[in-house]
Amino acid sequence: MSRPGDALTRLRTIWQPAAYHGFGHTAGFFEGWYFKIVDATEQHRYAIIPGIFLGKDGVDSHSFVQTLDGASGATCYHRYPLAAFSAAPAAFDIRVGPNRFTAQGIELNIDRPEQRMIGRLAFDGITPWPVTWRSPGIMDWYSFVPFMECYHGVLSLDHAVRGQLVIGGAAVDFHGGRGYIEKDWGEAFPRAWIWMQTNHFGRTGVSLTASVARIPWLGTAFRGFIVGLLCDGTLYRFASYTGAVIDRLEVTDHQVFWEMHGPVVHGGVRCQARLSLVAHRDEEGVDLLHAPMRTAMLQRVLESLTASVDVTLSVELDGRTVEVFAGRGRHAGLELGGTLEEIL
Amino acid sequence: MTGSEKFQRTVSNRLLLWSVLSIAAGALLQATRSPFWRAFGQQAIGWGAIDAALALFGRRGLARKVQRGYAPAEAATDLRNLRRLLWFNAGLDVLYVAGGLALFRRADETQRGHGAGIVLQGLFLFKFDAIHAFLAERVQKTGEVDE
Repeated sequence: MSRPGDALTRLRTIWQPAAYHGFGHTAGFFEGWYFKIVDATEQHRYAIIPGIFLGKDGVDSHSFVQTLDGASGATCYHRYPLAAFSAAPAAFDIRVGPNRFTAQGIELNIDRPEQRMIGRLAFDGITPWPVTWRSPGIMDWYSFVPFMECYHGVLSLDHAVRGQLVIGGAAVDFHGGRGYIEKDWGEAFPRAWIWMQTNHFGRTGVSLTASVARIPWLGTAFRGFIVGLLCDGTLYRFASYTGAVIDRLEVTDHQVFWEMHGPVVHGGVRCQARLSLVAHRDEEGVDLLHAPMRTAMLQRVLESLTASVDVTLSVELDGRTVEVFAGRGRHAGLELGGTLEEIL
Repeated sequence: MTGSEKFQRTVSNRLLLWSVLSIAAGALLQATRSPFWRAFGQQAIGWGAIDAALALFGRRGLARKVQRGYAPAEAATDLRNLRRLLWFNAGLDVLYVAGGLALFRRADETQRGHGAGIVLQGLFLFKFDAIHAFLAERVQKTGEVDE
């Protein structure tokens, strides 16, 4: 039931993408936080997704913790009652049953016949997408628009992971590992989208997140995209709202080619830049995760943590093309969902 | 000072305040790199400049009338004309908002920024014009002005 304070909390959370945005919602809403963790050996790679789903007319509403074993591709969807979900108002502190998720770390207590995952992980040096008064996160001014179908937030492009999880019967040490956190919320996932993410490049501190989707807009729709490449402490942004343009977006059976250009700030100087992404799909690691559709949590998302992405960033300086970064990101998350022809 | 004179001064001052805020905010937004916010700010500057000119023009005209002796009958006529002008403007404001929304639907970020800027200015002016049209009617009847 909507309370008088809910509207104020929702207003405050415009500038707090990490926090729960569903206060006051009773139906037709979802919110999910995506935690990617990879251990130091890179043998153990997991995505852990806590969330809440409020079905249309309140039907099938529940909370959940979904896990993806990035090495095997196996997924588990742990369903919890709606009442098992709780969130601090205007803060990143989520509980789903006995599991807790914050920006500082996660506590997992999944002990079910289909999966056992117990332990505590801590995160150090999280690097959120910058939030300012006029640009509250990765969606920039679109964060202020109250009728978006789906909102997106990047809570940490890259951070260190420490701690241990007991997975199945074995203890897995995550000390020295790397992590990434993002989230989505709103009415439903877009009708078509491509998403890729990796923060395992040749050197630590480089992270890529990229998504393109069909965005319903005041009776029409457009192809919106957001790409962020964190490199040597600089976040290079290519997005519809920065004036960037997609030059090529092509999906083949095994690869996704994505090229774009647009204005960036490099070394304090505003200049034109080009970014090329080539994602290599690895079908062996592909499994189905649950994505929120309008009426139910349906198996629609093709996701893996076994893809790789070749990234090349160059800028135009004094009429010369200077390569800023080139490298391959490993253990990449890759999703291609919905009717892709609408965005290609 | 008649109620009409006081009311006209209040309307001009309020419009001038909004125009100063608009121009200042628009100027600040020119420092951003976002095509949306720059366009939004350009609208704020443009509309702010027009509003400022109208407010200053109104204040100067009123001052001249007061200087040469502002007869109550003339003040009453001006108030009635102002009320009509405000209602007419409120109608125009609806058109501005509609035009802004049409721009806001476009694919280009700059056009969306201009559209959002027009919508904001149009909505403010609609509220401003409608409220002051109502208040003008009350002043006509009672001669009293709410500060």
